[in-house]
Amino acid sequence: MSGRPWRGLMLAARAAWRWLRAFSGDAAYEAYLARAVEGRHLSRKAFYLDGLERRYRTTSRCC
Amino acid sequence: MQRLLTLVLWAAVALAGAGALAAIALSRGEPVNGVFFVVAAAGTYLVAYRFYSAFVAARVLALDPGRATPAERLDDGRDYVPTNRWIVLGHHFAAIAGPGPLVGPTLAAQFGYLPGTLWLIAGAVLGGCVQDLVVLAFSLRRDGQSLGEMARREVSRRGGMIAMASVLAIMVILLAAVALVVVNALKQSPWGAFTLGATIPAAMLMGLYLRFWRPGRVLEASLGGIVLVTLAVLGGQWVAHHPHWAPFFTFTGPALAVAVIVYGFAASALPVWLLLAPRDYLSAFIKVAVVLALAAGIVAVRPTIQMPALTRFVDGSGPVFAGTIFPFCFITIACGAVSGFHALIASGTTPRLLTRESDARLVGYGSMLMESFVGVMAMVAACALDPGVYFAVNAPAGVVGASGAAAATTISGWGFHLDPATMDALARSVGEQTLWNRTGGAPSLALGMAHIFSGSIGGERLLGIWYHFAIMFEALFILTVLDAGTRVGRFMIQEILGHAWSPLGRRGSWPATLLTSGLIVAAWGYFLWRGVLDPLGGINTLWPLFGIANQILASVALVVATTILMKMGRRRYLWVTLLPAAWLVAATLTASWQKTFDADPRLGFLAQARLLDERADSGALPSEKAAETRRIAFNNRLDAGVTLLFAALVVLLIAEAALEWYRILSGRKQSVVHEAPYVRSRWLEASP
Repeated sequence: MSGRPWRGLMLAARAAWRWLRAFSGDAAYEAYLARAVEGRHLSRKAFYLDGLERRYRTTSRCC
Repeated sequence: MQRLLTLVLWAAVALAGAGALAAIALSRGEPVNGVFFVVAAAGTYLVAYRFYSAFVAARVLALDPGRATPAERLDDGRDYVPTNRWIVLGHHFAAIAGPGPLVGPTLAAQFGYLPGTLWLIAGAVLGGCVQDLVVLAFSLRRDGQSLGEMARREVSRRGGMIAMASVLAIMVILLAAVALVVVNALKQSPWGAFTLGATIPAAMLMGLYLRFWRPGRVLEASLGGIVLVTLAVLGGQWVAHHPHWAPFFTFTGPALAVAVIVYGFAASALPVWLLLAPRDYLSAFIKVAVVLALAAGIVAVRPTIQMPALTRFVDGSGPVFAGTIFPFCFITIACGAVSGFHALIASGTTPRLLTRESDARLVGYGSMLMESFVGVMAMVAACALDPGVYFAVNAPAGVVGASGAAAATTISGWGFHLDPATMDALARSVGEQTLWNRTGGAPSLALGMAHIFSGSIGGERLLGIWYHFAIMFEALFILTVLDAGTRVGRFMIQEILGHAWSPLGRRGSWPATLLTSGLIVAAWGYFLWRGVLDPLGGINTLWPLFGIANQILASVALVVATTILMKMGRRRYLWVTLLPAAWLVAATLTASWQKTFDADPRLGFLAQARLLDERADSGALPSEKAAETRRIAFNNRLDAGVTLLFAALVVLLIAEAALEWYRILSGRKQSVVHEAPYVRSRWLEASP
């Protein structure tokens, strides 16, 4: 019985952590690798720089 | 049974919201608690989201979770990526929430708390959220097309050009207005100037870390960045009390304006990874955290609202900006209720990330509700201040008087008793040299936030730290808007010039980058510079111009959306977009007319220009002063021209759209929507 709230708390913390990583872009490269064709993907650095160029090419922040 | 429980629950939410709204609307003289604002807003938002957004999504837009989105059909792992809707909600909210919903309500508080609060809530649920949702949904069905592209394809070629021209013109005024807010917040403030200045090397350090040492490890870098900016806030206190460093970091308005202009140029021309991106990461984290902390702070502290429901300035004689409630309350609130700029975000990156069409409801409508809530909290923070203090901070010296004694007499004469010693003590308690005439909205908002935060943690002892933390928070994401906006403005100019001479359109070309960065910075820098020199504080001119521009862009978006709805055969639901569009067009055209032609020199640009010309020609002024007066008169005529340009753009687009509507309704033209072909979603097939 005492383990249940802890498990719920751990699950919630894990979900929050996953959200934070995805929201910040921290997990973006892993997600990209999971979809990329074997042997034909960008390096982590190239992927990061490419993502920045794409994001700031259009209106990305508002008033 | 469950149905009955649901019914009871929603009835309770609706009653709580309506009761709180009634309490703040009907109170005259009795103290009102800030928590009522939170309950009124939250209750209305929940009901609006549950019922009205569901109606718009299902009946008006017929969003279909079984239809594959661009993210699914064109998934390339880079531009188009199916993403969890809660993550897209976070991204979209971080993108749309800028300084507007904080500054606009703070300035509009001069009318009292009631008009602004009602518009923040009603305008958002019936106008702003609807705009964001419909534009997102329509872009989603067009592979993430931009607003300009949708206007071109669905209204007319000319309509598309008008939309693009509106965006560039509006960008210039927006950047000038937000830059002026930063300058006014930091002038004569060594603590603030040091803190914000220190965020630049902090961001660059993060940029180097992310580029060379740990590419893409955003959380690690952001954590380091947050530690550095916190140290910068604390270090600012030491600087402000240091006999040598305090004068070194004390800047006048013009000096800060030059610094911001140089910064804008550098941020636009430098590689995006070095300054713009890391600052954006920092800004996004701090923004979300502070918004949550402010909501918690209001509930914990339960501040009493000190501003009356309506002030004497509803007649248009306000010291913060001139003009009556209609249209200027709506123009000033702008982004907190309806923001045309959101249409650019909703037709930019966001539609390329949604996994299901039906997610547009949460992301489009839901994000705007959150932004409106930020606006309501800003209103609470501003109105929790003593009204005398609020006007002393926000009214320019040209209106209330240059000395503290004169200003206190003027403000007390308005019925808001103010002792000059109160202002001096307040300035000391937050570590500032002065708080008189700190126009722009940011300092008074920071004061309100500092009172709420210090009421929860640290008490009066930490008031200065909280004040400068709030200033850093506001300035940080204003600079993010400035960085990103200048860069996009540069690309727009490059695109236009590239048609005339193709080398100017090349993205990687250094001469083209430097030239176009210089052009966009010169455009907004000009308006910033004259705003800084304006004896009335500048914000009284620039913010209404920004508001008009922003609401005109919203009108453009809603007119384009109405055209698409008409083409989709949803004629019985046209009112959903047509009514907010009609309201915005009425407000913006009235404001444009009054700002240009009103006979009151405080309101009308041309009347002000004539008055200044008369003064310059009277011979009573020394020659140098007369020349400066003529320059200000010229600036007023330029403002009149810009205002009329904005009005002309929206009138032209409405004429283009009305012609298209007439052709469709009269059967002269077949109504064809240019949507991407229907493809069934594999997610739906995968689900049981």
